Amino acid sequence: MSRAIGVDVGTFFFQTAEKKQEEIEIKTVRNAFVELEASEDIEQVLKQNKWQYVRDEKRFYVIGEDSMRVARMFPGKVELRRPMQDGVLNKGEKKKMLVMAQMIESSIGKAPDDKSLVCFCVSSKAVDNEVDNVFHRARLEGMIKRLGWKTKVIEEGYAIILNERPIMIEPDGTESPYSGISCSLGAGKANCVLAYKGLSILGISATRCGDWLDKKVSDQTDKPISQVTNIKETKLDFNNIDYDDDIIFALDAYYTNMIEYVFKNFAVKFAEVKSEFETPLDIVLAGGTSMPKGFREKIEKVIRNLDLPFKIKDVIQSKDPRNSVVRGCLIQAIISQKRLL
Amino acid sequence: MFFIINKTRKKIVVKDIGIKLGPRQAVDLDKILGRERTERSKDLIREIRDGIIEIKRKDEIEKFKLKEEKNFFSDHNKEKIIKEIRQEVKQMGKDILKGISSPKENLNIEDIKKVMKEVITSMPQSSNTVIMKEVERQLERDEKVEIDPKLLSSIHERAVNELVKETEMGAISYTEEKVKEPLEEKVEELEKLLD
Repeated sequence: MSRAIGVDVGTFFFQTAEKKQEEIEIKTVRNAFVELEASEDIEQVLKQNKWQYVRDEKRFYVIGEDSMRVARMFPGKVELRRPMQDGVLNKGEKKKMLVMAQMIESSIGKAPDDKSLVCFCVSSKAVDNEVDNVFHRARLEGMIKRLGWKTKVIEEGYAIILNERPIMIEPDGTESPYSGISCSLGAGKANCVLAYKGLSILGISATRCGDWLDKKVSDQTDKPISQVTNIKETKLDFNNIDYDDDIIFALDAYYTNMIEYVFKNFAVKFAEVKSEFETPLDIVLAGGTSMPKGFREKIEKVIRNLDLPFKIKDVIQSKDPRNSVVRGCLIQAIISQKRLL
Repeated sequence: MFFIINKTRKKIVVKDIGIKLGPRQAVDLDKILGRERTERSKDLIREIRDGIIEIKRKDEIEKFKLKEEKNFFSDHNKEKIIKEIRQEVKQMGKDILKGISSPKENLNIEDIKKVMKEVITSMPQSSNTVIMKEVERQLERDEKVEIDPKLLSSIHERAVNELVKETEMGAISYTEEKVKEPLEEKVEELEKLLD
């Protein structure tokens, strides 16, 4: 039986989504790995702990959540590495192809027939980075196609539009679904897309996002990045900022900077394409960086003070911010796969 | 010396003497064949007449022999020849750069590099090589390569297959969650919108 799968190869997480009867099955794995020299002792430790690994010549590669545990077990001896950086395959990482290829094969397997399709997403054109994603996209396509799958590629922000279904109220009172602005805030990049009735009108991406925030706050407070990330994920609450806490204070300041930067750049592109929307637009938010408490109120407060070339109706936080992109990819995969049948 | 140059950007063959010349390649026929055979070549005469091959220098046979015997290839003559070659190379560089700014069908950067490498190897080892290298460096700097995305993805497909050939694949642990959501309504609505 033909299959349709949505894949989100994120900087921090690798996710797949597939429809199984009335449910969507979502698999998530941390997009990280460690490399270990292959020896009997190491193999024994890996087996005792039931940690999965890939063997390539004289090396073991432990991928995903297990890599974090291995890194904690051998502090200073193994380095936690990431196949992705800034929303694309990490050009400084030599083993990225091997690790990504294994991660993809292990999660989606081989296509059952020639009508099976995978839809994955890539970032929109970057406003602050000369590097395009032609190579990144071709590499992911190659890794998926070699397993026999047909592929469909969409913009990350567009995937959120498909999943969140923002509605625009036309001047005559009618509803236009899948019309509005999406904002996907991940680890590597922020992605924004303007769509109208399911069509993507314009999209941008910017490298100021989760990793950038962590790095800036770490630099300013002299605290390790891991500590900053942990506080961001567990303690940060924009409705209750503790200004005596250096990390919290810095996070609040850099979040403001990031939001202004992303929306100012989006506004420039919006003006360039001379889009005319008389009626106010919804802004839908998703992604791990949008998850701290009070973020919806925070972003609304910041962007309502900006001079933007469009009116804002509501700022809506996704009910499932971590999975919204991969679910959007799945919707597109089902539509594209139906066309193949 | 019987120094000829292929004036075209294509490979040519002077059949009756079996000489193959790459695009813009120059050779000294006296060194390869000797004057007697080249003087008899009808194909060579025709190529010269048609402007496909140009004679850059042709010494009289006695003079040539004399030069050979007395090793009389003076510095003055050498400088003159190098000067001529430099002029030729400069012109070639300009032509190539012009070609890049308005690329012709089926001509890509690799073709141009290949042509240049052939020309460089055919040139005498002198300061003119420096000029060629400079042109080549400039090409590397300025090139904008457009690759067909389908071709690029098939290259990566083959590369990954090769990469994982020797790898023992293990399973990877995933966090799994199940979300209840009927997607049919969204799919149907979008199909209508996007039709």
